[in-house]
Amino acid sequence: MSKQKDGLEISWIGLDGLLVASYFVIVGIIFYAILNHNDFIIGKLIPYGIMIAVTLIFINYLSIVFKFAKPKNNNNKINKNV
Amino acid sequence: MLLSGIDNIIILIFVIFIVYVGYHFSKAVKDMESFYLGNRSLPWSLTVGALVATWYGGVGTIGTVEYAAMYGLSIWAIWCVTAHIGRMPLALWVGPRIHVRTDVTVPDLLDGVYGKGVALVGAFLMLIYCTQFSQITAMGEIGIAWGIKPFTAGAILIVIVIIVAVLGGLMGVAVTDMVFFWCMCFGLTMVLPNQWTSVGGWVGLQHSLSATPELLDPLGGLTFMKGLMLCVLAFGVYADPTFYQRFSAADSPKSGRRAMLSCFLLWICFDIVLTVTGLIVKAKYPEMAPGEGYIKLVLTTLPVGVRALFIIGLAGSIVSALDGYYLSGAATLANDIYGRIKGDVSQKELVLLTRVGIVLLAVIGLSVAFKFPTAQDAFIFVASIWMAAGFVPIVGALLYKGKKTPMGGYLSMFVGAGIFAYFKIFPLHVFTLEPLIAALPLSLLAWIIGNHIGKSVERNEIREVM
Repeated sequence: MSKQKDGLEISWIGLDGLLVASYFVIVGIIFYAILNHNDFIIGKLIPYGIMIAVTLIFINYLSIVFKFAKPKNNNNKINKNV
Repeated sequence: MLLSGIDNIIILIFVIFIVYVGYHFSKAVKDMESFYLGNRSLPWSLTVGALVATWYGGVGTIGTVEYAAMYGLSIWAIWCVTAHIGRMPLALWVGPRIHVRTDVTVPDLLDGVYGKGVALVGAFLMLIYCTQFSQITAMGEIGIAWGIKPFTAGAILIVIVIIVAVLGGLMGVAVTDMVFFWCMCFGLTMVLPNQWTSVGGWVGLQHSLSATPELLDPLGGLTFMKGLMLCVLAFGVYADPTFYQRFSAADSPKSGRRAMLSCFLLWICFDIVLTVTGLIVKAKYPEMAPGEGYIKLVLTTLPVGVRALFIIGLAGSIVSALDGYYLSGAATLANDIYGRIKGDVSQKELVLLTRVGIVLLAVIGLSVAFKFPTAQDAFIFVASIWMAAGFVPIVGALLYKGKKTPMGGYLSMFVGAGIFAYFKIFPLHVFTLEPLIAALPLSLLAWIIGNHIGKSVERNEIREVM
């Protein structure tokens, strides 16, 4: 339980804080694009950005599945954190 | 029919793959934890895929496009931005605490804090919520791609959902979710760049929507009451059983938290893509129902083969969402209603009952899905009932450390559900009042009063974690 409770701590200076801050940065960029009628951000940057991001996440998942399928790793539980 | 033979062959191959995944994971199901929580072994990427695919579904995709065509940019600026900010505490504090709990369902939490009776009432209400017939309503709109009736499209969908969820449990659902996640995000987003150029960008939209300029105003479009209701409804995820199931299935609390924070980045971008697509639908097909206009817009412009990816992404998002909710609802039926009433039930019996429950929920959902005009309307109705009754006692149990009694649980549920039903049946004529907006504060008041009546029955292990 103590190990699990360690996982409750938030690393504001680390990845957790970066992810929270990134949300507000992205919202700011999209608001800028709406208010200034920026075609590039809405029509290209955001959609292509999503397509690249989800493909990278999908590849990450496939790589985990591939490692898991190897015989030498059969006894290990998948435990890959960000 | 808007799809070619090649498109249909690609879709058929995909359906066979999904059925195979369900069959493959059925062999690994041994007990309730492996069936319902995938043995708590989902890595970060799989948790992201499962959360995105389950939460969006047909309502989050087609529904957002429909609402954007009706209410404009304010859907993103007012609703989506606020909703995700409001959910951040869930990712940072509430979700990780739930993960370290040994319980697996929301009624378990209610039982631990308010006692068995409140847990049974909560389980029954949650069962209604988990029918999620709005997803089937959305599938009916995709039926236009094959030129079939909405009910037929819904029935075909239900068969696929049952196969995946009944056979594979959460592990099967999570793996198919991951594939659907990619198809949904990629397939629905790839439509925008060409359509944005085709409509003439911001200048073209301003020209086409000159009769309704409020649609391009980030703070216009939505009325105050509608905007308030949507923002309040967004907090319903704090009482959403599938969220806790997905979070608890992550391989650690830290992994679950970071998966959800990553989801916020994807969601806010995906939301603006769907919102702008809704505006393009409105500009190109002003007389058509937005949901149908969306399908037509995409299928008449994408090349053969690529259209199949779009349909797989759209239908897949619905299958993912329904799988998740049916799994939670059926587990509620088996574990939280039958199990609590009967007492000692074997793991084998629980898994069997959960599988029967999935079929039952699917049949109920299909029978009522097409009584609503849009998928979003259907969703708002069923989500409001659950939120009016369940939000205060569940969030109170999670966040409030003071005295909580069975009477607090009963009163908040019955007052919330009762007030919602009253204003739904007898709406005010003096001014517009969304029933949910009236129900929530009164449910909170009833909860506070009720917690002063009777003794606390809260179990120690609940207090230790919270």
